[in-house]
Amino acid sequence: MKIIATVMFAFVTVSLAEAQEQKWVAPRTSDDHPDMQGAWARRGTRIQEANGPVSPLGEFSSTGQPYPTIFNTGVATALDRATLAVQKTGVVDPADRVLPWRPEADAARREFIRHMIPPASLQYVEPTARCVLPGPVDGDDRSPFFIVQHPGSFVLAYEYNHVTRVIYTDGRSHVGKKLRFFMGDSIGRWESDTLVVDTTNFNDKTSLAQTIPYHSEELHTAERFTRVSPNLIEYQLTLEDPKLFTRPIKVAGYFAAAPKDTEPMEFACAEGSQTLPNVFGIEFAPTR
Amino acid sequence: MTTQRSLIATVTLFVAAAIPAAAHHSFAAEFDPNQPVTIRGTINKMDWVNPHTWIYVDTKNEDGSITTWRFEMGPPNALLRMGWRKDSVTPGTQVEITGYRAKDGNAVANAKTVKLPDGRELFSGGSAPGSGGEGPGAAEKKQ
Amino acid sequence: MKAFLASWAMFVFVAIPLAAQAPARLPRTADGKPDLNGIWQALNTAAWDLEDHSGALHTPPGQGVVEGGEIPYRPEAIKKKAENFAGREKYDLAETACYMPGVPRAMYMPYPFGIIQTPKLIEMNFTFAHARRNIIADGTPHPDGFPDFWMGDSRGRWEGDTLVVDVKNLDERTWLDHAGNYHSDALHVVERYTIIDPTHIQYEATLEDPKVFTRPWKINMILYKILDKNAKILEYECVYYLQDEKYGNAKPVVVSK
Repeated sequence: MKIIATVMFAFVTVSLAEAQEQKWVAPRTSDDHPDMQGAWARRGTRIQEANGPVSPLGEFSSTGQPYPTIFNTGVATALDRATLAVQKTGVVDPADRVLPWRPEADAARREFIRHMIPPASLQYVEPTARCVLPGPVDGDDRSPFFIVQHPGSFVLAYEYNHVTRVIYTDGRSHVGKKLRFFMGDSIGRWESDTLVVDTTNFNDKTSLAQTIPYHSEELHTAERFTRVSPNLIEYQLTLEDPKLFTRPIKVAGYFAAAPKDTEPMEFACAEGSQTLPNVFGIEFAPTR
Repeated sequence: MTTQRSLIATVTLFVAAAIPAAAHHSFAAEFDPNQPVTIRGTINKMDWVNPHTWIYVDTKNEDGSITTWRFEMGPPNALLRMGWRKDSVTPGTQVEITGYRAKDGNAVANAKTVKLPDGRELFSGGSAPGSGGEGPGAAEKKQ
Repeated sequence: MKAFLASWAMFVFVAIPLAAQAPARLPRTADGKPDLNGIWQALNTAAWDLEDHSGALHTPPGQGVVEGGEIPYRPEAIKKKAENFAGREKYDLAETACYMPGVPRAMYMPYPFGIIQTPKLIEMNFTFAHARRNIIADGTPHPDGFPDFWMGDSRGRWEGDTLVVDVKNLDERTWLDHAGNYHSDALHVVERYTIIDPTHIQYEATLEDPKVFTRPWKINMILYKILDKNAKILEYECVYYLQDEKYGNAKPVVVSK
């Protein structure tokens, strides 16, 4: 009952606040943190660098369509374009988007990219085309994200490839250094009304961008989630990989509210993917 | 989340420039942008699978034989949310479908547009047939 | 003496009503439901074989979880099951391709899984293949005309303190275990999750598939809560390693113009 009363109070408070155009206050969860639960559409968190190599993966960007596959339709959102137009997206630090590459790492990835189309071998196939877990940046943003909060945890469930990030906020430490994961190991803490997520223990098998085909196991990320309005969570991702860059880079994006009745659907990836069979001419799973 | 209807202006947000080239799909590894194709035929069936829905189109060759083309489309979840269902598209429906052919030269392509004889585009972001009114995807396709 | 009898009387008075319902000390969510949040695991060998099975090569022994002992196959379906069993090292897609194992098999794969419970949505995230079930509990029915899913379409509701989950649209390519027990696209599963104390769930599933079985039949087992400190679901992304094995030395067949 206390929770219902609190939410209703917050609802009324929000209604009045918006009517009077005052600063909006998020409803609170039972453990007194901002409530960010629901269905969201992620936008903007892409690394597009100035002076990067031309990636053969992005041949269709000049037509205005990322790739010709129809249903480029994304998740509908309840945000007006004026609100979205002012949101920061993409690389925000460095502001000129010239990434702070270590020269040898920059040269190595440019050489690597040359072998991706056609892929010289399996290691040159885009990881997400293999339906591998997408790592800290990637994922198909045409599908929604679902946030669930309980005391001690913040769950970010991607519809895409059924990625489920359970981010514990109960004060525990990272897992041991020998453990390596595609999505890394995430722990969270609240800094006032912002959720700060620290992720380590990455393996080196995911890609960060079309022009950044791999990273090292030293990758370390920090994410910040701040709900600023009923329909908007601002998001910032800091990436640090001393093997690639001489200092951290920051990427901004946001989560826009999806329609309230959006239900998660299954997005199986590996089970239906034809990429590797098409590229190599070998069936993956035996059929009878 | 509250529903402040008076404050929600234009619904929807789409695509293209707004959704950068992400995702999982190595179009360029499998398909050839230098081999555009346009196929006129009838729909044989659709496979509603992730990560790509497939549409099979029978086209009659000059010698009377039939080739069944397989076209790769996007994930079905977006279509399902717009009200499309497995039986929304009837086998035998005539379509004109454009796309880019697979590099291995098979009758496989990545679909760009699927048009009905009256010029309407299927799966373009509009609502499903019979679902009445504009679906959430209808507002705009490109920014 | 009186005090002694009185204390015994209190014990008896309290014990009997408790046996008939969920324990009084059961943790509950804010909406009054039994709290199933946490990490759970079945501790049997049903994933190898739902029926009684002796120890064998790569197969630990187990008493079956099928009520009545045997799965009631239709006569023609028994042959198919035998073929599956003979070809299981090739055709059990969960094992040979790391594909999602379907329902109910995901519930007794021998690895932990999480239950993430909200009033209208219950997510289950599995170690194996990072599979996930999205159980919609908002009162909506299975949509007509949806395609099949590897983990099915699940709609949940509460009957008292039991979570009842109705599952349809299950892809026919999943098996019920590694022994080749299988189903068709007509499979309909009704699960009942009854928490019997804070760390044990009684899990029962009724399977109905008139194309394969002569009648509905049930499986029954306990799900145990993982209490180890800092337990979490870790990635078991086995697809990647199978791809390495299959394509690691392969050359692409496609050649760009």
